[in-house]
Amino acid sequence: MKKYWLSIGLSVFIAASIGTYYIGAATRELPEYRMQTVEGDGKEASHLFLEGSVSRDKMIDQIKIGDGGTAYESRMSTIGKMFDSEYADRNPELAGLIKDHKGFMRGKKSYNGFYKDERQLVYAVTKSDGKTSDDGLHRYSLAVSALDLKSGKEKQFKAAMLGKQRYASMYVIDVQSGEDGIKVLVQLDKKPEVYKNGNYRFESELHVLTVNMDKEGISDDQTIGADSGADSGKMERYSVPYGGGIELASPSSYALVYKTVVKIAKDQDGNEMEQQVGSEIFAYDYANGKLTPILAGSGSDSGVYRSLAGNAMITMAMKGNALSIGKLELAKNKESLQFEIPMSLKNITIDNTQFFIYQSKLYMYVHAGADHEILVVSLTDGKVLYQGKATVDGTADEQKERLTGLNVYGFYFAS
Amino acid sequence: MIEVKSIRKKYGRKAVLKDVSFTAEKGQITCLIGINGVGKSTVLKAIMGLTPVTDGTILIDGKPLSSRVYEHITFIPDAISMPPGMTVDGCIQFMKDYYVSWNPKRAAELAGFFKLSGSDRVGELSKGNAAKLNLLLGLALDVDYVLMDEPFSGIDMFSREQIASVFTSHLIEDRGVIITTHEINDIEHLIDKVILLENGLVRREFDTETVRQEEGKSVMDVMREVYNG
Amino acid sequence: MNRYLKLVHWEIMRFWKLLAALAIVTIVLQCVGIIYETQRYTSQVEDQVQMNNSTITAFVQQNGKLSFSEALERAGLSFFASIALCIGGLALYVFFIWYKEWFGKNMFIYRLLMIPTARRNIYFAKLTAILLFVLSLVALQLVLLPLENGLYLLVGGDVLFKSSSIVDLIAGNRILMFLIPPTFADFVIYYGFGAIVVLIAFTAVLLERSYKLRGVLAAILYLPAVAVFMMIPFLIPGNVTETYLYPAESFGIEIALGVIVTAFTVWLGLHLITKKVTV
Repeated sequence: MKKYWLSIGLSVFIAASIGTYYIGAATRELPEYRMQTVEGDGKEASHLFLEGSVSRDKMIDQIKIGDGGTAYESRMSTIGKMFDSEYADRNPELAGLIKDHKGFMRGKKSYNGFYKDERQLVYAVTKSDGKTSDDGLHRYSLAVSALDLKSGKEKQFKAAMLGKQRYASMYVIDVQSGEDGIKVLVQLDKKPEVYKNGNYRFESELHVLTVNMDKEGISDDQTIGADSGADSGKMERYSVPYGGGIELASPSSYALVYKTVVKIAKDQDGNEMEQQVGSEIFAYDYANGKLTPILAGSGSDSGVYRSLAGNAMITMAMKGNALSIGKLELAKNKESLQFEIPMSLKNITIDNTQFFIYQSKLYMYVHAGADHEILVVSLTDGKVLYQGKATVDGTADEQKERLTGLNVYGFYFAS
Repeated sequence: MIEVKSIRKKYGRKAVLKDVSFTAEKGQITCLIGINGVGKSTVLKAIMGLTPVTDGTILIDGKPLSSRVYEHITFIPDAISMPPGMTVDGCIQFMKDYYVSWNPKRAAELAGFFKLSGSDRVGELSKGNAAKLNLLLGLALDVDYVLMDEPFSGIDMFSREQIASVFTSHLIEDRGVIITTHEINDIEHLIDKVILLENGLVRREFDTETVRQEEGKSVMDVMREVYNG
Repeated sequence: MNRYLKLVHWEIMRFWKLLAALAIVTIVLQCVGIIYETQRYTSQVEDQVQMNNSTITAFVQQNGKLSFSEALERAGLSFFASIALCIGGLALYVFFIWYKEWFGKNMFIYRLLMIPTARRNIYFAKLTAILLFVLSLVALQLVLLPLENGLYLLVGGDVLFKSSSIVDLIAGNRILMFLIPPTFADFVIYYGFGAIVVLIAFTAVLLERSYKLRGVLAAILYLPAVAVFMMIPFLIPGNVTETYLYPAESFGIEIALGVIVTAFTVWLGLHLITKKVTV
């Protein structure tokens, strides 16, 4: 036995060194961040997560703060990380769809393309003709899949765009249902204008395509907005704002359409500058195809956020130190709710907050310096259901340093 | 008994052994004779499983070769196969570690007989001493069969005499020995059986005693007949 | 089992001197690199302070102290040259551990193949030895880091320099985080994968030793064959991994393919050393 001392010693050295390191790495104390309830029902926040990063020495560690405390990425195994970045984990509606209809949901990655009601689950995504083209334009079609929820039958088909128009790109913004079929709201980019200095501009159009599910084709193509006026120095642009609602598959009778007017000026070097001179908001009604103006404003509307929640438009803006929320019922074009929530933190701007709307509740994360706050507000009656803040262990100085060093870039509801 | 049945060995396109068959009995010294390169070493290596054969069977006491059989058969190659930095004692320790059939007393006896010092390093030994160590490492095993590849080649005369004397001692007595050589002068009187190899085939397989009595020929006589005739 | 362990010990005894040499070179290169870096930084700071007519204290107040982790980044070359040397040396030994048995007229391979033990023990003993050598150098690095941290402060002083947590240092360093992954589960996976690569190399060597030139050809083709096999899910027409499989499913398939590759490689290697290897 004695003559084997080298081999045994080597093995012991290896086990001791590596073992000690990993035990130490796993058990060392890292700051533990928590969300603490300041007011309201803690259950409202039980599914919420803050995703961010902290830095230690030279390295940046990603962390997730949730109901159970803090999870550090530096402690996660590579495999754990691989499965952690699933989009479905951050969207409870999508997670539910995958869980209930695992087969149908295979390979369907474009979340905007889903629509679900009691009868059916539909998915629509655009497909180009795949041919190489000299001018970068292609013919597009819609690939549609549908699952009948009662019978369990699936169908798939490709519906070609009407006419012979070719586009630089096309993508689905929203899918809804109407009497004459599935309605798909798409944005199409026309041929890009390339300028002498190499810059280019797309001119886009918004179309609503009606897909006849029985005939498996596009029966109608309505243009609801088309960019124009590029040559005249004053351009109109149409877009659909991305709001904070995360239930993209849920039915809605409306879509919000933005029209912005910009003045294009060329400076002495020939560079273009755009200045927004006006904006308008419309509600598009999927049932009758009508575009109704809701709000008109001039100048820029930065600092104002608009989201579609169900059949209402939610407007958020900071008024002094309070968050002003308005709810406009689109059917009647009437404001049904208007309330203000005073913020305890100073100097908040909407651009620096993270928020989303889920199941008629507004979830908000606000941050200033060492303060991180979460609010849950009911959009039915305007009541603050929950208010909480992030806390961390340590001495008072350590806490301040740790909270200031916490950089949050994501805020979501886990399924 | 070692039975070699119709073995065939190809190196690339060339068939070194075409169809070789013979037997070697326990308690006898069998000698494989042939010119350099005829494949004698290959036959021994094939028996020891150090080279796979393309065709044919090899049985040792009725059983095919397996790793356990190495406790019953040993091979002494033509050069010492221990790292040059190892000492004689180290080599002996190595064999002791891995072989149940290692006989330490016999090892000591042979070391004394060959006058090998335990602290000598393998790389520093003279050719004669290296050959003697090689022999020690093979013969100190209590095995039934000993295969030796050119045990006398390139060895000085006195070492040769020493080695030859081992053949008549109790160290070889009951065992089955197969040796290869292209020089039979030193041991012609010891060999029980001869196998003449030429062109990958067994030209003649005969018992030396029988041939001497019946035909009045020595081994050399038979060799001349076969190779020249 | 006993003979397998003895063979592992035998391999260790054959290589320990070279291993010790690698260890010493590593220690010396790394320590020298650290000492050099502290001197270099100190004189840089002194120069700058003199040029700006400032003081060291003011400099530290503005720029903070240089952490051990940052210093290693700056020392760069000498530190990581030692690791590269060890990796290179061991990579060569993966092949040499077999080829050395055929060297010279005293071919030790005779002895190895005639040991009354299943030949697979030779195969696994060499694999175990390689793993032990690799792990011992990793273990050495883990012991060295805190010691070097101490040396760093000893030589540089605590005016300009400060310590680093070893775990964070490793996580923030491109090369170290690869050798010492964040969790023990990862460690097993990374080095398990490394073991498979070693086994593929072993099988390549045995192919050459069994079939000579044809074996070399087979060995050269083996690696791309393995790569293609592992990529089967990606090569199936229809872009299945994107359009059909969930990530967990793709991952599971890759694991299964990896297991098959490993099993086949081991089986092939064992088959070669038991039945086909030619002395």
